[in-house]
Amino acid sequence: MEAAALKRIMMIEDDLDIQAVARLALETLGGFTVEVCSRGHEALETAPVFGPDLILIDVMMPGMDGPTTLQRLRAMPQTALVPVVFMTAKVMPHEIDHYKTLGALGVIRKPFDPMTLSATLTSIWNQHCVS
Amino acid sequence: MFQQQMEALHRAYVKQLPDKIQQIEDLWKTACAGTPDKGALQLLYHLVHKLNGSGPIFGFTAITERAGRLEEAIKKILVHGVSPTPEEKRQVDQAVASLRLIAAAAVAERPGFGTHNTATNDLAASRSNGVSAEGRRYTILVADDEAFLRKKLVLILREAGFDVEEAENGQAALTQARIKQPDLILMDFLMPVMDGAEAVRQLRRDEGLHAVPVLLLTTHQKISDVQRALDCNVQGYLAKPFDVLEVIDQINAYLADAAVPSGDGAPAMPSKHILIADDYSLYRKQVALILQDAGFNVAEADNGMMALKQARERQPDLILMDVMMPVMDGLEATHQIRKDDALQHVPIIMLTTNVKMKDVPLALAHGADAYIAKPQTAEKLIEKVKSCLV
Repeated sequence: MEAAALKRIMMIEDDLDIQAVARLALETLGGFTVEVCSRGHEALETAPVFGPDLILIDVMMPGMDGPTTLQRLRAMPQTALVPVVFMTAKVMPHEIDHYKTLGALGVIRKPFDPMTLSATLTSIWNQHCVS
Repeated sequence: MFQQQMEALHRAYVKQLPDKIQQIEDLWKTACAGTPDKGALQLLYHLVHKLNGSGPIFGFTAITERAGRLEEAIKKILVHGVSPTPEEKRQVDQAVASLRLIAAAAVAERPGFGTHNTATNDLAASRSNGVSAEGRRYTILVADDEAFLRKKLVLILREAGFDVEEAENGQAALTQARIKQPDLILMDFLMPVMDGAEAVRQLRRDEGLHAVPVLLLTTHQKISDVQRALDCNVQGYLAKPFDVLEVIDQINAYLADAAVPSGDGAPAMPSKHILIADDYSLYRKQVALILQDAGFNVAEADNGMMALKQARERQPDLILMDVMMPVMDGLEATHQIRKDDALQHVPIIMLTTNVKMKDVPLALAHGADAYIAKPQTAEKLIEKVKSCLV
């Protein structure tokens, strides 16, 4: 079965510099439609309206952190099944496993390479669709 | 298009970097004032974490090392919920000072941004750089005909708290040195009018300047060129393009060395002297810190040639030697050390990431006494060092 194309990505990230680079990389190199939120609460309101194919969430954010945001997104019918990928500087293998048990499809290590960010997300997406 | 936009983002990031680090320092001061303010520490932790994540994306890989260290130190304080110890405070102060140097270097590489920020004078007050134990500011003379590089070095060194003089060739450097009596000279190798080698020869013949430490700035990486540079009777060399933080570290190390013989406050307890030679600076510095914490005196070299020179000058009690290094590899350096009458009995531990069996006999055949596979825990490293010192 052919995988559905990844088109719309929502990113939840509080760092404005990383927001800007990731948006540029995803829009310009990946050709995706990107919506950016700076806080978990903001994402809970925006996600049902935007309708993302995939959500990219920073693990460590002030206020509502990444895992809590994921939990809240899972509790909403519009986003309960939307695949989520975490971004984090902490990449110990047991932490990656932990994030996956929370329901993340994958974990992108910070600092990420802007040149390969889109390809990495596409790869995670394709693996998800195949499985 | 993408590259242009990335470049614009990079410029914007660099422009904000000094202010971000200023904010981190302000928060650190707040957190340290009186009883520890947990809110300030949490915000500080978050800001440092963000810096750690964003820096390398914009090409500032050096930020990761410093911000990572800072992040760990703040996390420890947060977890324990107690005021930072003097040692923790010193570590954070040093990490913040390093970050400010990175920011200053980034701004210096971006003509047009200028030295716009409040960081300039505060770094001068940092205790670790630029000032002697007696509180006197060190003077560094930078001699390089390449104006942009010279100005960059001048700016960085001033930010680090040094008094800095500059010269555009060897002749001007000699004149300046006689007038200003610098504590250390950074000398370019190839310059018009008078090159660095000749200027150093003349310095060494000058009664008032013969003992001034000189570090040569060179683009040469070939063994013969480095040897030629070292033959000029200089204390070391810096290969361009260099990491500004390495420059500051080396300058501080040479100034500290120069200060020891004249001081009367040398430690009473004799300490073993370890030389570590590794071209991977992050690993080298980690090992150096581990050994210093264990009470050893540590000197560093970033290739086999420098290790050989340092070993001859410092007569270490033990050498930790990486195998793969530029200019001269660890095997050849070990071989040379074993041929030197004064050094042939110094224990050498080979550091290697290759734990293939072929490397071990090769290292031992070249005269190494033992080997350690990288990476290694601090405990195992110290245990191995101590066992070889017995």
